[in-house]
Amino acid sequence: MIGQQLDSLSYQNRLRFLPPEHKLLLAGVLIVLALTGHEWLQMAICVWMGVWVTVYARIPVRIFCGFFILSLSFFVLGLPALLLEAARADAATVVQTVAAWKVGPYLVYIPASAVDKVWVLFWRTMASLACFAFVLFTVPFAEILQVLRKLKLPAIVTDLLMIMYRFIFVLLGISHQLWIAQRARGGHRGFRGMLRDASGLAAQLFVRAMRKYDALSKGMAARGFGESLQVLSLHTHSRSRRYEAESIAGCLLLILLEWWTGG
Amino acid sequence: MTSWLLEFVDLHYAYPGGRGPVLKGLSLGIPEGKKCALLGRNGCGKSTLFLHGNGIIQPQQGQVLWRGTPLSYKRAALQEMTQKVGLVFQDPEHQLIAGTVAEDISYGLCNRNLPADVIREKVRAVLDAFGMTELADVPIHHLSLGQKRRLALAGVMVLAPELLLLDEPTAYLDRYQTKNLLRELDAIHQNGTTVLMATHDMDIAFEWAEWLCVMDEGRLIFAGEPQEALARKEMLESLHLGLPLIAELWEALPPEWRREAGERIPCSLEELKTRLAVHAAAR
Repeated sequence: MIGQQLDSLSYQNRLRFLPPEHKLLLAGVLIVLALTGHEWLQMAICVWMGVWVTVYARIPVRIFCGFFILSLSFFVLGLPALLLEAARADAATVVQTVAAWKVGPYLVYIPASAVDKVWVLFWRTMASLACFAFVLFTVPFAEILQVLRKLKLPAIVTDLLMIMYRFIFVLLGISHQLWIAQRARGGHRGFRGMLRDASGLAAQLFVRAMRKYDALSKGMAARGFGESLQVLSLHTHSRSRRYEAESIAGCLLLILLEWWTGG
Repeated sequence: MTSWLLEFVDLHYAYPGGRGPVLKGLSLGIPEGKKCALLGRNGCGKSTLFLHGNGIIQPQQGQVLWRGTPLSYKRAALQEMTQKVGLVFQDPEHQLIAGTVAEDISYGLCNRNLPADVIREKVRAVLDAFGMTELADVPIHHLSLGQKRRLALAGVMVLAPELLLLDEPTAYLDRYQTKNLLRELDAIHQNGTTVLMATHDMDIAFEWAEWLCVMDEGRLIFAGEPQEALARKEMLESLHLGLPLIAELWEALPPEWRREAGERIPCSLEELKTRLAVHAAAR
């Protein structure tokens, strides 16, 4: 139930009281800096966002690191395609290589330029992930939606996002129940059994999702569904001079750093 | 003559692709200002009937009357009906829409295009009345079933409906939560809302309701005071609804006790206790 845990954390974090617009703005500015700047700047963003998430918002370090490991596994999966190159051994042009292997008539090698590229990409990914983690852990989804509504995003988009968000947890709950039911009835025996049960679960999930959809549309009609899904929150946010000062000063420092290291 | 708040006249309905009609000429009136219970076994058409109550389903034959006027199935009229008739589903998951508790309660109010301040004020009042103020910003999927039921009820009651329809509201609730729910329903009733609860629990229906309707296989079998229903023991037994525990207990008492303590069957354990105590003192 990783999804549920993430969601609970975002509702209980210590920066919940800050206006969501401010947090999203900070993350947005930093993402732009991370995508346009150099490695030193990206490293600084990683560290600074880490402080916001783990120290200010009090998200456990274990979970913050887990988020990075999970997301970076996708980066690692893409590495062979970025690093490895191959050419016929007799026709290979001379480039600086970090490592090379001869496979039959071919030469498989890692060019030095590819390592540089991966280095650049790695820090850019890290910095972007750090900004994303900040939004994920400190702004509850319902508040992101409210900001999107304030930004005058079409109602159909925010309505769909809201229903999808509700359904994620409804479907997670159903699949968890089905999974437990299968195990309780002696399912999941061996690899083949596991595959068969998983496919059964997927099929059932679809059928039940359709039924839920039908029931929910009746439920919405019973509550007087008009043209769009509108809701209001009671939660009030308060501004914090200390955090505002730190974010503005930090951003200015980062821009200076970028300029100083030759941006 | 009793004035019917909502009246169903000769309703027929079959679900498209279903195995035959669910409602087969059902006629039923809901008396204004009473606590009513609709008894029937699972699958007898109670939920389908409720969906007719505020016009979500249009009958294939027959009529639904609100204070004697037939329901209009035009969009604006239906919108108004959903405000007059509040419907609480058996599975609260089917009517909770928004992300957090307070947002969900605000949903019905936002549909009425009220000003934001009024909405916030009403949401706060309802949260307070249902004892959910601390839960205001909790996401819905963090709530327990009992809390979800309360939230579904709060989301409907914030619109102050004239009639409240509840589909099996006590299913899966423990004794404590059931008691709480019945107390909340009593408070709602005292504030002037007519309540109709569908259930198959004879004990709850008999203890709580002032008016009983019994339906079976899409037809109305009985409507009247609870005591009248108990007098027709064979009917209840032939429908496999059984007698309430308290009535069975009463039957098991020595006949002279019953005669001396008054023939009327007590509705609740409390009433039985007091009457027996009075009887014992008299002897």
